[in-house]
Amino acid sequence: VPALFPPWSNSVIRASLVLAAGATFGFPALLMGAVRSPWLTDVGRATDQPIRFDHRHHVVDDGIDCRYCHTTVETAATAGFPATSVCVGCHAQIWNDSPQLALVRESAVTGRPIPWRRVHDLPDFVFFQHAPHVHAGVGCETCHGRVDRMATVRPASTLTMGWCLDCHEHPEDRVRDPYLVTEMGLDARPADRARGALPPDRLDPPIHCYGCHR
Amino acid sequence: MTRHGLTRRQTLELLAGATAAAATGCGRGDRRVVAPWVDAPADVAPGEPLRFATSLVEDGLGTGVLVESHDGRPTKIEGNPLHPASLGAAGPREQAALLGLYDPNRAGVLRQGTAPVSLRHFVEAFAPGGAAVGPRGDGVHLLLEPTSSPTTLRLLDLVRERLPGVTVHASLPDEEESARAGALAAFGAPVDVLHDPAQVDALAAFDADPLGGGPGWLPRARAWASRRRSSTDLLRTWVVEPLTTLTGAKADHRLARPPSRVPVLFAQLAARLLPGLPVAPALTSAPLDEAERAFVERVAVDLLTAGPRAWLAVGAAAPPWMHAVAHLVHARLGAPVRAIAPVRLQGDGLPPLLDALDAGAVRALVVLGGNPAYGAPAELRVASRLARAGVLARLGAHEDETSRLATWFVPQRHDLERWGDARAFDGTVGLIQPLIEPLFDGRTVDEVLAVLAGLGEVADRALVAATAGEVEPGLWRDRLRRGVVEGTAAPQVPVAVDPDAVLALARGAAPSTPTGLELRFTPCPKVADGRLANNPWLQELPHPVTRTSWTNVATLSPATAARLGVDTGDAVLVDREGAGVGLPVVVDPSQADDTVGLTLGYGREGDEVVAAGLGADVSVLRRAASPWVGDGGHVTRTGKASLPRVQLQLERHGRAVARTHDPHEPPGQRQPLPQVYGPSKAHLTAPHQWGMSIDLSTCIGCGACAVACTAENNVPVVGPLEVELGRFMHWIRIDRYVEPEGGRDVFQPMTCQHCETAPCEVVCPVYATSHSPDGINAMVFNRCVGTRFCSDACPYKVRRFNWFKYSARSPALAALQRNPDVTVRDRGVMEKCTFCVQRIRAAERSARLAERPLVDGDVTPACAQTCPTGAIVFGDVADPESRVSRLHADERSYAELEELGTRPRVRYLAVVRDEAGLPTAARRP
Repeated sequence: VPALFPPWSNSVIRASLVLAAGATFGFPALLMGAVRSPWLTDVGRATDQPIRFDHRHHVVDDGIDCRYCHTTVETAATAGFPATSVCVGCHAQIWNDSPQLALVRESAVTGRPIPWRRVHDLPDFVFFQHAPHVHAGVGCETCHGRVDRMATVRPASTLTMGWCLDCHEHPEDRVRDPYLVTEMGLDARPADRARGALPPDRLDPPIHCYGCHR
Repeated sequence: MTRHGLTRRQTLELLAGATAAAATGCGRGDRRVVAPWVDAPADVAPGEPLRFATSLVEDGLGTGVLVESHDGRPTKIEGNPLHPASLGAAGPREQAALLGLYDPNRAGVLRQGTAPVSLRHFVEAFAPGGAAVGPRGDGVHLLLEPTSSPTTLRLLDLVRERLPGVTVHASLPDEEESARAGALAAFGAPVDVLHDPAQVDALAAFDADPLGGGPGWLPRARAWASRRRSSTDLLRTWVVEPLTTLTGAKADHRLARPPSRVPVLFAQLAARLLPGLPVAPALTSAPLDEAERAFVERVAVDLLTAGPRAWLAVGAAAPPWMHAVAHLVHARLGAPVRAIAPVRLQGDGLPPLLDALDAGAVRALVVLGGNPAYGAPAELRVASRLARAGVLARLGAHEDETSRLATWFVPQRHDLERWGDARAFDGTVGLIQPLIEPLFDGRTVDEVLAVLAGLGEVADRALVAATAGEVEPGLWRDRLRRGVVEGTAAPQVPVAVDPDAVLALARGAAPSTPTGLELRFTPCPKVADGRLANNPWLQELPHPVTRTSWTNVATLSPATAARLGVDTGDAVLVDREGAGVGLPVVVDPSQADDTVGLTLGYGREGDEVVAAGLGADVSVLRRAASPWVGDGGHVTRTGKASLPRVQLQLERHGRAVARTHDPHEPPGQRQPLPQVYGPSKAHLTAPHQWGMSIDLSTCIGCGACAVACTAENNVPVVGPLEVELGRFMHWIRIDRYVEPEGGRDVFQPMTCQHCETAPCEVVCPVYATSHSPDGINAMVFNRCVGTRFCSDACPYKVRRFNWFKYSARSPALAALQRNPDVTVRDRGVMEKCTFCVQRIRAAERSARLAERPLVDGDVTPACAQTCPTGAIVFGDVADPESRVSRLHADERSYAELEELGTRPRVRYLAVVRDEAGLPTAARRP
């Protein structure tokens, strides 16, 4: 009786077993890696905005506090986008004929809002609240990065659940004096940051599902 | 067992994680657009809700509500604590009014015939001198819904002034017609009579349902409940009735008798209470059986002992003489009855209008609201008689049965879209302010009346402002903020009962000798006379007694059903004098024999998509002379019916569930079974530990909590077929339990018990349900993969599974109602009560930002907030001083199925029922 399988078929079977094992564990690993990669977390990716608003200029050159425009960050879930009237408050006087600000003027005249694009967007099943974070002394830069150095705002953090929990489990390493939340560059000087921060016993961020999901 | 490598759970975790990553990772679309304000108002933050006070009008009377608005979308209705008709509570209809706003079937086109026209055309035709009304309004008739609005009344006066030929037909609710006639006979003048159950020791209700509805039922139910928590201060409740009402279900002593027996028993009681007066002699001599005689005697003793603290309540089906005699009894016993001048515009409604139509005297008929072409006894042929009007103009929310007849149709705005005013049952004026720009191009009653009065196109806001007159702006804003105008409650009017008039009216009462089956008609407790039939929340809400949804049914007692050879779920033909209606049967163990219970409000034939094809219209069985009761009925089985019903068992089968408190029972006699779970509380680390207490003694089964929960938590509507398959989604259901022989009903609201050792948590392979440190059984929708193991493990059967993507089935407009603070669930996800965790977190945030501690009462879930009787109390069980802790320590407190060792955080207070004790006055220490 001739051999049903030639000798090399042993190698094929062994190779398939190795490949199957690799695919079983490798494919999920690939996917899990993918969602954590900047390709899907958008870390560092710029977003086209209808107006080329430059945070660098407004924060550094003009020294405007974050809360001047993001007015509800201390009281509400969302930090808030500035109303057109906030822009016009200054730009009625300065750069009031700049072509870059045509959309602002149009919005102020027509009453139609400026269609900004959201840069940081969480899934709808995450109920993030800015106010308690600011209240606890989580600095803007701690999550949003050095916005004062960004010409266009790019996400500085992955905003994944693991990233959230890193801080929720050890908040004392990340918080600062609540009066200095908008201070940029403090994260690079941990000794300065630690001064005035809430004591660990007053920091009790939730580390259970119902803290953020429902 | 040794463990090595991956555990089963870890493997599943990895697989689920990888699959979820694959599913969510791909295809990130464009960045979402954010549209900020152009000029931001002060104190408004995106995503943070605002609340506005307004009123909702039912039967012409206002109920004050606070409406939550998320970025301009009304998302939730709650009662206004400052409004006397609410006191902070809202019933199922008030809760569901929100979905009525987002009803996509509402009419939006003003038309003449079938042609859309502009409002200007309507104004030209209906202004004084216009083609439809002529210079004086001769032959013009107005048919009004019940109304108490000061603005409407002011405009009606203007219309009468400008068009002296106009005849105004003001309606009042049909259910109150008999009571009105009785009061008129007894007092010689029309008055509204108000009772305060908090001041009553003994209540005897004769086929009356003071807890189930009617003007002022929310505060009435609250006052009744305030006297049902302790056996030493009990408002003893006696009920004689043919069907099961909410009051009957809560009664201490109840006698189920067919409608024809109710006047007999009433007359014999009245004879005992009014010795020496000849009350309905033909009835007082009728023979009683032993049970009836004993019952009447005991009621009489209790009412006489209570004296001025007695209340004899008589219902819609009772003839006027019974109402009049009840007033006489109150006068003789010295009961402090509060009489006020009628709050609503008085009138005779439809009958005189129909006479005028028959005489061909109606040149133009303007029907403002209501739906007269549907629901009246069929023998009146209202629709065909209305069609005799030369011109029929109709203001209505829907293209319904009446709109079909209309030559002019004007869409009507919803209460949440308009300015207006309405008086509460006690006369207090409440303001109505819009929460949203009209979703459909509608008008209000006031705006149409302004047209008739020759004022032209005037906006509703200006009309209300003109009624208020010169008001200082700060005071006006304060009234809008509070929703009520202080000091406008109607003053008490002095009244005296004329015994001779009462006795003369009662003298003619004759015993009836019914043939065949007796019929008792009632408006549906959910959709009323059909006006709310297009509201899916109310359709889905199970009927408190029959536990059915999406249809009306014919109810029968077990003995009668057995005699007729029918059972629950059978289809029958109910016929009377040749006209028949096909309905499903539900056997109600508490119902009287030889009686068929029939519900109005179904079999609608308008353009309302939800209401179409649901149930059957019973108006062919009704008679104008006696619209609520009748006889000569026959029931024939025709086959099996489809019957959406959420509770198939009403009996306890010997289990100690839905308990009644026995003050003599020695505590701790029940032996706990061996515990499956350890008593560990290690996972309960948070400072606040949430818990709930539900008082079965004061739960009246109205269903407000279920609708409030639906609104608050984005609970989807599934429809009749899915309900029939057992897939209804309500997070809180109100189970009804009865004794096998009927009676002693208990309503038991059943929701997630938030067990400290929850059986559902240990079986979840993906940790989608786990315990939060503050004692909530957490359900994380985005983590759930739909194994349904948890539902299988739950001994209380309170978990609900999304078999389909129910949330996507609702119309796009209804999605505007959704609460943005709660996830909208997808297909294949388990869901259940979360203790309104979004409200807990919001309260915690407010306290934290204000740097103050959370105090008792800061957190109120939607069910507890709306409960008319305050039966549900929520709070921190770790705080021994909180209301819920004190209630958990009450001797009536127990946990359902506590022998399982699940340690529920929801505990119940057993029913307090008077067994056979002394009258309340004698028991008071």
